[in-house]
Amino acid sequence: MKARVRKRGVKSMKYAGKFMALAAIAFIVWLPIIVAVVTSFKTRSEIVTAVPSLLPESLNWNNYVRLFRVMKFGDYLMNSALVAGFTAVISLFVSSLAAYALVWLEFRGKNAFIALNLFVYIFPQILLAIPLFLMCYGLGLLDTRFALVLTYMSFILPFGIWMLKNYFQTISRELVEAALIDGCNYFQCLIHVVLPVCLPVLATVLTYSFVLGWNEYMYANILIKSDSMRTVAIGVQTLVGNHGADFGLLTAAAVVMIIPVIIFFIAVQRLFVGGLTMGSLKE
Amino acid sequence: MSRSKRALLAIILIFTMLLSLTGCSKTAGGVDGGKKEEVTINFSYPPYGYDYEKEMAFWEKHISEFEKANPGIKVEFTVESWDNVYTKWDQALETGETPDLGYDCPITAVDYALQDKVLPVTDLVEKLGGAKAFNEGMQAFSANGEWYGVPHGDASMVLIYRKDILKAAGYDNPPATWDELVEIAQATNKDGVSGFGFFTGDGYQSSQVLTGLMMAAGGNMIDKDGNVALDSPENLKALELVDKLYNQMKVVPESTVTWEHSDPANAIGLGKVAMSVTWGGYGTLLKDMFPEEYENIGFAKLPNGPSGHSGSWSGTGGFFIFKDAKHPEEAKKFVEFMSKPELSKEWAMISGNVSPFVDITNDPELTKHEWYRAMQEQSPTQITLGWGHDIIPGDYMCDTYFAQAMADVTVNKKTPQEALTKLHQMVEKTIQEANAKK
Amino acid sequence: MKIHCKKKSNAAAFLFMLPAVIAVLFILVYPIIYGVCMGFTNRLFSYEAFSFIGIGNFVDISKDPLFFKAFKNTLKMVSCLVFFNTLIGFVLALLLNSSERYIGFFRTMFFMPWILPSAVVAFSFRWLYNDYYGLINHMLLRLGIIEAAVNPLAVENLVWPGVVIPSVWFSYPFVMLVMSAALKSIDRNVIDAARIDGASAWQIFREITMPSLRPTLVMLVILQIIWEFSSFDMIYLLTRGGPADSTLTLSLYIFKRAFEYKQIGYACALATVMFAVLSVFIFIYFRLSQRGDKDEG
Repeated sequence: MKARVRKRGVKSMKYAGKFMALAAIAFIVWLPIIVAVVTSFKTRSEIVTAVPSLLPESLNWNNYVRLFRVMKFGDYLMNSALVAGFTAVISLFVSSLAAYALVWLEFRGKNAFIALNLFVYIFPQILLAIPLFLMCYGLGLLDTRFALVLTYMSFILPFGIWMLKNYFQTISRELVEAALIDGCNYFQCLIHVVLPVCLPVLATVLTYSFVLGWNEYMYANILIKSDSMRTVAIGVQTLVGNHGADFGLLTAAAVVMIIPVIIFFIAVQRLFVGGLTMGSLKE
Repeated sequence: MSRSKRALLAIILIFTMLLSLTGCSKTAGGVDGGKKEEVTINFSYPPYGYDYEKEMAFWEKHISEFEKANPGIKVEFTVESWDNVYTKWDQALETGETPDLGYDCPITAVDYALQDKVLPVTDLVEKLGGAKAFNEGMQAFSANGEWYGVPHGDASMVLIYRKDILKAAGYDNPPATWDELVEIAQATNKDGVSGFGFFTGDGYQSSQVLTGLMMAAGGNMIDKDGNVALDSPENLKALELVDKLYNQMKVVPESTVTWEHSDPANAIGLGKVAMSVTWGGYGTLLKDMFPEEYENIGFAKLPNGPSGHSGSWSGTGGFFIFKDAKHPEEAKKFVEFMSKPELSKEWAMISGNVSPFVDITNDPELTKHEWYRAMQEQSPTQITLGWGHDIIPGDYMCDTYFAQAMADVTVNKKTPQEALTKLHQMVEKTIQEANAKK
Repeated sequence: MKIHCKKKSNAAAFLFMLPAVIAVLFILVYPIIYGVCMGFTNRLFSYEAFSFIGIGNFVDISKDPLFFKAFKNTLKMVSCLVFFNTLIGFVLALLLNSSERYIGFFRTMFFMPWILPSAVVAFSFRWLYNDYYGLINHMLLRLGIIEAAVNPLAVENLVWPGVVIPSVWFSYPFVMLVMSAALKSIDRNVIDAARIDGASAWQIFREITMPSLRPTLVMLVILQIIWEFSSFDMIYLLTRGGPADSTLTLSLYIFKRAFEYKQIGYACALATVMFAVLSVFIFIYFRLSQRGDKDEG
């Protein structure tokens, strides 16, 4: 009897210990973020002062008000949401199609494709900008959100495909073949049998794609010309290269920019916890 | 099989949805929607002021005034980021889909003009009073007898300093010569305060400081015959001054290597540095930035060098019209509108720049500000790359070499002569290459 | 039946692969070939006229001290970053691999740094590091740990930690994310069975967890190496190459050459060299992994 009580006591101490450790790490990790958030509430003179303090004197919403007055931030948010959303969904879709084919279908050139995929990453993106611009101009895609989605998808695919392929390879072949025997249709197999088992990986690819589509500014800057098509990333970037270096405005923009991503991530969290562990058929 | 077809249909459906997204965007893209008589001019503008909000308010207010006064003309105003504005413009030029109006310093406008990418605006400048209506330094917008930019804001780097720190060291006035600068820097360099801070890293801001020093030393970048003239005893004096201040007297803080944009003003406001070099326009922000200290902060013309005169980098901004502009005449109308005297005055105060118009520049409401007076005094000795000669192709590409020379002397610990020789060679090579492409 | 399915298989494979192939070709065919070709010219930015100069740029590169310095710096940075990212990401993923109620909350917390735009991360750290108005110096001075304020980004001895810390802070969440997903994929039945059999936590980790994570770990390391090689944002925003080029990496050098010195031809040549080096790396990796598969198969 006593032994069991002691065990429970030790366990709850471990519990508390782990919680404390996590909380401490979270605090350290969040320090720069707290700096950014807190700066958005400061006045100009509070940000650059000989006696810096973490907290502002008062909660000053001025920077946020100014932000929406000074640029069409609302429009930018909408554009970013469209671009990031479509990028996430389409990238996942295309990646899973390709990963499925690479793992379970037979065709030539598999290895070539996998290797070719990685080549997308090894040429510096900055130099790809110019030819990409010319190509989009030639295709009439300049200044469209579609061009951004297509570009981002190209950069996400190698990762998405590789990630999904690795995961698909751990799914037992029997499971897939069983589904196929019921009706020789690959697409249904993918949607109804394979994907539901992969929820954590799906969440990963979705998150990665969304964040990329949301934060990316180099190509957005180059492919988007008119103000109404701009994404938030460009909006924030415009504030960075400014003589006046209005840090308050910049951090306010950053805070507004990350809130939708946090919401997205929280929504996607549940997929991490879920995921039927039907990974293997143990008959 | 039919299900796979359905999959294909789904894919096609998604893509058409996306294409419809693009369809929505095209009409907003600033291309004429086929409406009768309504013309849209594209104005591409990198921020030339210091207070983003006030700047935007200024442009928006006057753009709508202009649109009201000119029914049938719309102005699409796009604010660029300094980080990529040149990339954007160059790409636009490659495809022929350029904005109508751009806004930048003389060297951009003239360099584009030399490549036949910008229209002459001599007629507009004549309308506004001709060359004599503008401050001396504004001539930089002209080349080969034609004007390629309409000056809008006259700006130069000036000396910014702490009156109280100088006074405590026994100096009532800011340094007027290089010798005085050295003396005061030495005297004020104590108790946690550095004597003189300036950009010393290899970013473009260092090149702005160095070229100003070179001019004050009496050196040229290009001589009257069109040859690169950097390796001269005069220019050497500029690098020797940097060496003295940074390496020998150590009155320059180490962290200046990381300085950008508003750091000199910050350093002065915080009282960590007695003197620095920055844009006079920061004067418009000081009250906000340092409400308790701003009265102790002073602006003055940069000290005279061995040549007997001062020298400073030009941050002057003006309008220019791209060659492929779809509506150059309407663009000119807009520029004329924005050049009205009241607007020029208003812009001076909001943007922290001097009015380029001789008639307006001495307006007492403007000159009552110390930062304005300092920039005014500095204006005749402002330069852009290629100084000593007209702007020639390749000039503007040499920015980085000057910055490198500054960094060579400060952090890379090279001797001034080594740095200068290298600078001369690199600039010569670049200009040769650029001119070979004509 | 089999032949019928094979035909369907080929048709399906074609359809399934088509979008991905299009996307990859979109980036690869025109842009990269364009970039590589530019490396053989002496093109200057914004000047249309240029001429082919053969391998002139490549000869210059072999004599360019900055290139070698940048390459060395890149190797240094890539190894530091990949090591710390993987270590921290892995450890945190392990910590978060339980089902207490608060784990989801902490997962969101730890994931945050990656969500921030790099410009803001750089700004925050620059503010923290600043010797005049930064919090870190202020605290250290107050606690008497240092005598005079120092901006780590300005001093050659301190700039590497100064740059690595924000970079790791910014990129470990990705590793954490992928490892979390991988950990979730390990079959709980196997672990439970082992535990019932009396295996210790360490034994379970070594015999079950690690082997199943190996492919993911390897993939992560490869991807990170490739990504960090071309990573450019953080260093550019923090130090722009650092005091006296001490933090100049290859991608930053390429950027400078292209957009500051305006020598696009040379920059493309540099990029091609980087491309070639990484290609060799990928090739070697694929060869080794194929041989590995053959051994296991």
